[in-house]
Amino acid sequence: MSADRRAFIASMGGAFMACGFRFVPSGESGEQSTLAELDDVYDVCHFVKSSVGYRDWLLVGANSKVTALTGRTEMGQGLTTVIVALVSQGMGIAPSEVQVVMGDTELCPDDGPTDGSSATEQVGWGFWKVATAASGALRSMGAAHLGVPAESAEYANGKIVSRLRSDATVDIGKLVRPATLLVDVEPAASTTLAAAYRDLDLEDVRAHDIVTGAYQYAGDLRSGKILYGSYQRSQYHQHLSKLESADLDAAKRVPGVVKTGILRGHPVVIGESYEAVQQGLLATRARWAKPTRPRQLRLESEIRRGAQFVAELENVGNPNTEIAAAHVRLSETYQTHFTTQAPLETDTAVADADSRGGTVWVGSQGPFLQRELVARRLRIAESDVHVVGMPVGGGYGGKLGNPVSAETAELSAFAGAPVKYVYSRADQFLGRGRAKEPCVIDISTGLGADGRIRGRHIDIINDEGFGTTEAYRVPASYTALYTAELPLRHATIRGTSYMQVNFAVESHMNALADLSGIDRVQLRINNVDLDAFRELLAAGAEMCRWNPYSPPSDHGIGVSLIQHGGRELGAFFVKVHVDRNSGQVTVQRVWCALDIGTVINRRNAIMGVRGAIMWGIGYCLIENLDTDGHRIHERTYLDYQVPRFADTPEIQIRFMQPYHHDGPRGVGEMPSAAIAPAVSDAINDAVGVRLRRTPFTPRRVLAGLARRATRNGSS
Amino acid sequence: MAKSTFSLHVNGKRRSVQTDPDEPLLWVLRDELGLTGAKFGCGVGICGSCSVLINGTARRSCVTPVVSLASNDTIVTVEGLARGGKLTRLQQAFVDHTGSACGFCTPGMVITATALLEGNRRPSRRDIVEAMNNNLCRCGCYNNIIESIEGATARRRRKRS
Repeated sequence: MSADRRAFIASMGGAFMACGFRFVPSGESGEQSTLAELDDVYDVCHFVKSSVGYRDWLLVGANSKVTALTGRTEMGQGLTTVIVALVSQGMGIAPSEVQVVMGDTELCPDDGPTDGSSATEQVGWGFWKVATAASGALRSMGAAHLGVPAESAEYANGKIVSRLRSDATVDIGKLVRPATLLVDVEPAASTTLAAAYRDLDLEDVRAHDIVTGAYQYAGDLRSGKILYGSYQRSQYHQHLSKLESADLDAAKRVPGVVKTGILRGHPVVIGESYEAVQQGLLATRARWAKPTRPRQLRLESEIRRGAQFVAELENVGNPNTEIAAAHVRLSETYQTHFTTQAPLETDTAVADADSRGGTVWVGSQGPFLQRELVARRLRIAESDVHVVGMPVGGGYGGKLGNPVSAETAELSAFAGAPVKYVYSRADQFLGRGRAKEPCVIDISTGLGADGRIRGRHIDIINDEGFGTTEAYRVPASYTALYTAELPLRHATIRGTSYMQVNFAVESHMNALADLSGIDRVQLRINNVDLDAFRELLAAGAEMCRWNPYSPPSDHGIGVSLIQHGGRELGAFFVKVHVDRNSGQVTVQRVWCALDIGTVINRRNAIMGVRGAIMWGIGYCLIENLDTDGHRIHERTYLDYQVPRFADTPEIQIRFMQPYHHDGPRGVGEMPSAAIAPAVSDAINDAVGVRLRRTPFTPRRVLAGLARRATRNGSS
Repeated sequence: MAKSTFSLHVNGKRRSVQTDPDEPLLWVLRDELGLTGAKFGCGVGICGSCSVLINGTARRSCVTPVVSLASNDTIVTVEGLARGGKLTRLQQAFVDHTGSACGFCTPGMVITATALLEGNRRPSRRDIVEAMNNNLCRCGCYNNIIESIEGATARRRRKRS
């Protein structure tokens, strides 16, 4: 590690100054104190972190390079580039002058986990504040050095210059001294980012390393001799598994296996290579008690069974009275299914630990949470654990509280050597006992003769508790949340359960439009609660040339609205083709109009939206985790299919002027929740079959067509 | 099985490794030769993250035992594509068109697309989808990857004209 420290300090020109910022109310700023003269970068960061309130900091190098630090990690949403863009513009320096250090629990602040919905928003806003504060601090230092008024000092190209005296200029490198400044500043007003920021369309700062193979994930770390290790997983859900017996004799004889044992009720194998460990696991004879959870989990009745009331999420007016008195009434039930993250990078960590502590390198969305889990597992203090968050090779919500760091630390302590643990693909399916939960959603709505919603009642069974996120003004509304007794725990997968609820609410709007004879777009325009939605709908309708009276064919267009977190808004239009013979549904085109606030990096935003749309397509047409009360049946990407090139539609995206004007928003999740209801609507538009249960498999489409034929034949 | 010595031709260099004959090329590259560009994604040749060029053809290194390789077979990994620090047109197009999100699948995508462009200098969108369909990108960057590959051929076309 000392070589790493030296290299890090060398990257800053051999010396650096730390600037920690505390944001204080207006009128209380101006305090600036030099408090420590430390030259070890870890000591400096530890000092700032332990100085109450100084949560954000930057390192300014003698070479004028600025290092931005965050406890979040890069998982593909382009956060590194977002930080470079904001810090460089906020400080007035070139993007190449900014380097970003992420996910190191010793160096970085614990500024929250990395997710797709809010990381860009929070990091973006945070670094804009820090960068503008740092620029101010450097200007005042430069002004003092030059003996000019602080207001006259400007920061440009690594120099402080005075507007008053053209000869008054000083290199930032000259101002940098091994010191830690703690500065009290007023936060930049929330409107400054939206007003001042210009998207310079930076290319992804990681791209060169990625395309040459130089970009390193946890599994790519190599230094000295690292052994491989693995637990043996039961085929049953982890929290229901119990080891009855294990015979490790044959495993011990596998060439390359160096140690075997039982840890926490699991056989473990340590070996010289990944393959030796896998062979050792194959040779291990383990018996696991079969859990007594026999039932299947596919039927609505099984999800409803044991449902228990949790909370009222909304209770306004008398919805049931309003529904009863309404011009048009519709009651429906929607049901969703199990899915999983299945990232390409299986859970992977490297640990060098013993019973007193150590270091873990892990591709994680939450290095600080991983540190807590390691400490708990080894029964030591968090301060004895150093977690280095590496870039994540696909997280999607699955690499936050996952056990891989704790397991690897335990394997390292057991082996008495550094250990790398790379989950096999089968372990990736088996090893977590979590999945996106199937929900049953009962929804009833009453519509007035004026086309406006009068009342609505929703019961959500087995939602993880995030409730509805839809876009409508509902004068009388009741929403209740129930738990269900399912063997798998909830997982956040490219979004929380608003994906399931939005499927029900938006599909219901489309069904309600059909029943009332109102155009699906018009019904939404009648009922949305923000003008911004009307603009999004109008833009999307224009993009796809929306024609509510298009003649029936095997092609159809569906629509859905989405809002997430109250600020990310979108209108989605999806065109599908339905093959009446096979029941196969193909998404051909997607048009979307989006309000994601200030777009920090357009190319990354487009990539994020496109990716989330593919997740939406996977969710409703392709992915389906086959599980029952005992176990998950999938072992490979053949068992668990994910979207491929051939499933990719043409996608048109329009970013609208932000309605709220207050900074960036996350975009990696929201579109994924908009696709299922739009696809279901498009299927109905194409062939007159409205599916209320995900996924929309060919079998369900064909069954719907058969029902329709019977109905038409009998009428 | 006892370890044997194998002579491999990797990224233009002759390399000697001592390993189990059944050892997949992926782990030889990663652990013996320090070439970690090819990734472990599934271990059974489905996802394409481990793709490398063997005699110009994209192959899944996770299911290629080292014993199956002849000593004159030419192996090229993603690290061996750029010459003297200069990216290939395709690599540059991946940079220009943001052809990756988390980046984990990208080495395999670049390798597979390199092989495609070797055999078909002007692939249609359909050709690209067909050639690339067995490489998975879980982040869903397929449109960006298609644009990257098209971008590399467009650049080629521009250069010629």
